[in-house]
Amino acid sequence: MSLEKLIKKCAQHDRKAQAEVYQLFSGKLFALCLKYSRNYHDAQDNLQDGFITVFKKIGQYNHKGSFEGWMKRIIINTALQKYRTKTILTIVPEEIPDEITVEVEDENISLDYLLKIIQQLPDRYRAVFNLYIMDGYSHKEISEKLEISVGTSKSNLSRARIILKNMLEEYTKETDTNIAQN
Amino acid sequence: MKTHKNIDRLFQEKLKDFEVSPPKNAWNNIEKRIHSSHRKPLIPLWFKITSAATMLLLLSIAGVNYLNTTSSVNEIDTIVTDSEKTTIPTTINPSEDATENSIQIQSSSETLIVEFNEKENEKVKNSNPVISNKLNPSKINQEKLSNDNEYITSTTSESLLNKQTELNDLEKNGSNLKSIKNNTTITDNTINESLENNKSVSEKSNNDKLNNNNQILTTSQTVLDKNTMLSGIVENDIEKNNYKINKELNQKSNTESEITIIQEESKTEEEIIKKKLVEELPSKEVIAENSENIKQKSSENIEDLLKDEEVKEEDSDSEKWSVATQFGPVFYNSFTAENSLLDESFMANENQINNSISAGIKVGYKLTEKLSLQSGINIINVTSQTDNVFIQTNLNPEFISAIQYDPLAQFMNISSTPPSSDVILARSEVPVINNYTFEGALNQEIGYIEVPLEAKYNLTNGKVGLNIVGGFSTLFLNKNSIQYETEAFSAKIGEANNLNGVTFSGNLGLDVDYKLNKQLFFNISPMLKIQTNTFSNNSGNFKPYILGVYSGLNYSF
Repeated sequence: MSLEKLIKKCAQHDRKAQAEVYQLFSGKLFALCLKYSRNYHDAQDNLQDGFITVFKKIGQYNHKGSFEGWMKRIIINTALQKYRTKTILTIVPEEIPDEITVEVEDENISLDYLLKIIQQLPDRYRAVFNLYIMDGYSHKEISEKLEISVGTSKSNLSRARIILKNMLEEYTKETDTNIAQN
Repeated sequence: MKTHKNIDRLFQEKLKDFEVSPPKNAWNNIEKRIHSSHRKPLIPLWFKITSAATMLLLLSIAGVNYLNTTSSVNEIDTIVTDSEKTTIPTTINPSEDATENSIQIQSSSETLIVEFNEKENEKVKNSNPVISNKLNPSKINQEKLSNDNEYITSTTSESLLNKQTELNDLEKNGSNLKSIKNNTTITDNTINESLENNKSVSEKSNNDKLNNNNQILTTSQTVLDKNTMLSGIVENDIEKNNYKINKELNQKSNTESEITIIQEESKTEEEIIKKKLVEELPSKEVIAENSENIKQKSSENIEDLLKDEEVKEEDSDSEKWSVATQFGPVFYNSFTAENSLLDESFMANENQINNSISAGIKVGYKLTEKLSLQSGINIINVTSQTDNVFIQTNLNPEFISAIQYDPLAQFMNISSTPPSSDVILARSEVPVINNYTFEGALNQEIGYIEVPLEAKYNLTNGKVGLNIVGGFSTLFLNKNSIQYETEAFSAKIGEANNLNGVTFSGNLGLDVDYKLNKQLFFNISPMLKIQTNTFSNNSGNFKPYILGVYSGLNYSF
């Protein structure tokens, strides 16, 4: 069955079609949720809430853009919504160099660890980092999405990078000492 | 292998296209939640229709009840006046008691001097304006303040007069006491008796009055829930006063017993009491002020409540009523194929009922978002034509039972078959001049004034709304005539006597409305109305129904 047919059946609340769409996309979308959430449990919540919105609004999908992209946007919005808090103080943006390099041993870094340190970022930093680095949003788009200034978005990204860098360096040190001990 | 990597690149490469299968229960949770929201029970259309129709009767009963409950605002008014009334005595009595009390205490002493009298009068003067203001709940309006002032002066002067007469009495008492002083041993008992009487009377009256005050205050307290604080203060004050007065009375009784022995001591005691009374009076004024505050606040609160209620009513009243014009073609016909409005003899004739127009006004009241009740008034006119009818003037005509013949039409023989031309007249009979037979049509006109009562249930909302309408109409016959019409002439024959004056119809239909703006709708409403009880004698086997397509403009407000 073509995706288009599946979508149409989903719009008619066809259970089989819904299950099939879930099967097709849940892996990718759960990975997305893991990146945007604080932890595994939150990620599951966001996936569920996101999919419910997807099936509710599937009738509004216009078949023009990619269906996956459309769903991704819904999932991302669901996750962002969950951690949305009004900031009373606006952080004064500071200039931090864009290029941050880190010395890592490629093979040693597990995916789980990368996910873990992303999840440990403060909510806003995680959101900006994911939107900008992983999903290609511009700072302007991010500023609109998160209702912050472009400067704040930029500075949040830089701070996220620094935090991640520090954590990665700590990780590599640990692995180095482990290797040395062995 | 260690490499220097851009941190962005590192995350992008590692995390860009990874997939993680979600926990197994995730899908179950999703499925549950989707289908619980979609599993709204679909109410079948027939159920909606029948429920709309059956609800109508209940609604009409509820409507009558609703009209009866509109007097609730009046009830609140009475509460307002009640609370005013109840607060008034509380302001008056304490100060009255004070004067009375002081007078009675005075009576037991001869040392009470004109000085005290003057002081008392001043106090009365001071307290009276407050009191007399309360005395006139009806004159609270500021416009009538001048009247109040007059009243104040009159009351103060009155009370002053009273006081003077009382003081005269007191002087008499005092002289009595003087004589008693001279004959202490002899009159001891009598004095004690009289004083005790005095005491008990004053105690009783004081206690009664204070109890009353307390009761009134507590009742007013319940009325004025929100002012519990203030009324609490008032109550405390009164309790204090009560306590003080009782205490003083005790002291008084002590002094009274001592009076018989040493007059001098009683003098000092009385002075103390006098002082206390002087101290006490301001507190009475405080009470008066407090209770005035309570009264004002309570009236303010009640006004606020009333305002709130008005606001609520305004809110809920917004766009609940609607007025609509109704206009449209009406098809009046019978369920039976062979029929006649008049008589079975015309059933075989060509009976034709002309389409007519119905016009009227409809008033609607929205009960809920979905359900509204509508009524109004419509005029329906029906004309029917029965062709191939023969008319012949005849001295001895056969009457059609369903026709009430006009006097002028008494000699017309109307029939569906041509009368035989060879009418043989008996010799004794007066020869008839005529025997012309005309062929023509019988035209019947029936008009009703229709008063419907219908419930409208909204099925879909939006720019175009679809409603189901069910209910019944009461139809009042207002036009009823039968004419005979040929190419040559037309004549009124009479009216149908087989039609009931009041008949009913059961109504069912749709109402489609198109929103022009927030308040204005265009609506079109096809309705089927099945008329019952139309004929008192339905010999023509006519089972009437009205099919109307009404349209109009609906203005809601």
